[in-house]
Amino acid sequence: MNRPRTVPYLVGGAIIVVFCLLFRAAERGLHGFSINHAIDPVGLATLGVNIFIAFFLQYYFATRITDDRAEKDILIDTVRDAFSMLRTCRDEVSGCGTSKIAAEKQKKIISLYRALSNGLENVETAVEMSRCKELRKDFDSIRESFFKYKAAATGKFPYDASDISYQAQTYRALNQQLQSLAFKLNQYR
Amino acid sequence: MSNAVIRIINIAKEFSETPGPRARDEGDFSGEAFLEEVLRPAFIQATKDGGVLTIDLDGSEGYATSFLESAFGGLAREFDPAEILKVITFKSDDEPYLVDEIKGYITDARKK
Repeated sequence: MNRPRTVPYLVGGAIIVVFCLLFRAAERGLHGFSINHAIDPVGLATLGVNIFIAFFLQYYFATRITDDRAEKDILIDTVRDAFSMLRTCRDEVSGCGTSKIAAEKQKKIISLYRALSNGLENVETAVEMSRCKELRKDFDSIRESFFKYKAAATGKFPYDASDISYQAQTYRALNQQLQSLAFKLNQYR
Repeated sequence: MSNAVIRIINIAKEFSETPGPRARDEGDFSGEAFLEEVLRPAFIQATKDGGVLTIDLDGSEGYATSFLESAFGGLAREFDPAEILKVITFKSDDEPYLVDEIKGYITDARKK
């Protein structure tokens, strides 16, 4: 739920009122309060630094944290798309078993791997453009795993038992690498 | 100015929009057929002319690993892979990863 925007103004107003009352009481010497009219340069500098830090934290760090989170959310969304394509590929391929695969079905499998390839490319491009571009190096192994998985699924039709086993292995490897990338993106500082 | 002859082969237009399996006996528009009918003659001609051969991969419905390995890996088993990579350039706007994939088949063709 969003906080009402008036809250900071109310709190700020309340603080000013309290300070005004304290100064008034100090000026009149009420309740043991007193005021020293001499200017203390160290105190003044401390006040200035405190005010600067308060604004700096609010406008710089808060904005940066929000921007970083939004950027990571976009990146994680593209990884989520790639996960979804990867699962579609797995479901399509695992449904084939060792029986003969019709030409239309073969075309569908090839086009699904093409979509997955482009999904991974989208993630790579997005990471390159983001503040997490250091993670770009992870794509060498992701691309390698993708080529192996594609080879396992489109290298030969129909599949035999060893093809199906290799498909499962290469799927797991690619899935793990994408999961690792998603976690790294989420924790990236 | 360079006078190198540049030939561009668009697989979808000059061979098939639906590239098929590895070998001729496995189905139509195989990698083997592409190698024998299109790729090998064009590569030999480009080498003779000292030219450049550009393979445009766009416009097709997608490529199976078997097709790519049979065509480009097959070429690399007949000719020097380094020479192939010098003469042939690849273009794939539809699926950018294909270029790295094919280069992998060319460099790995003789390792098996």
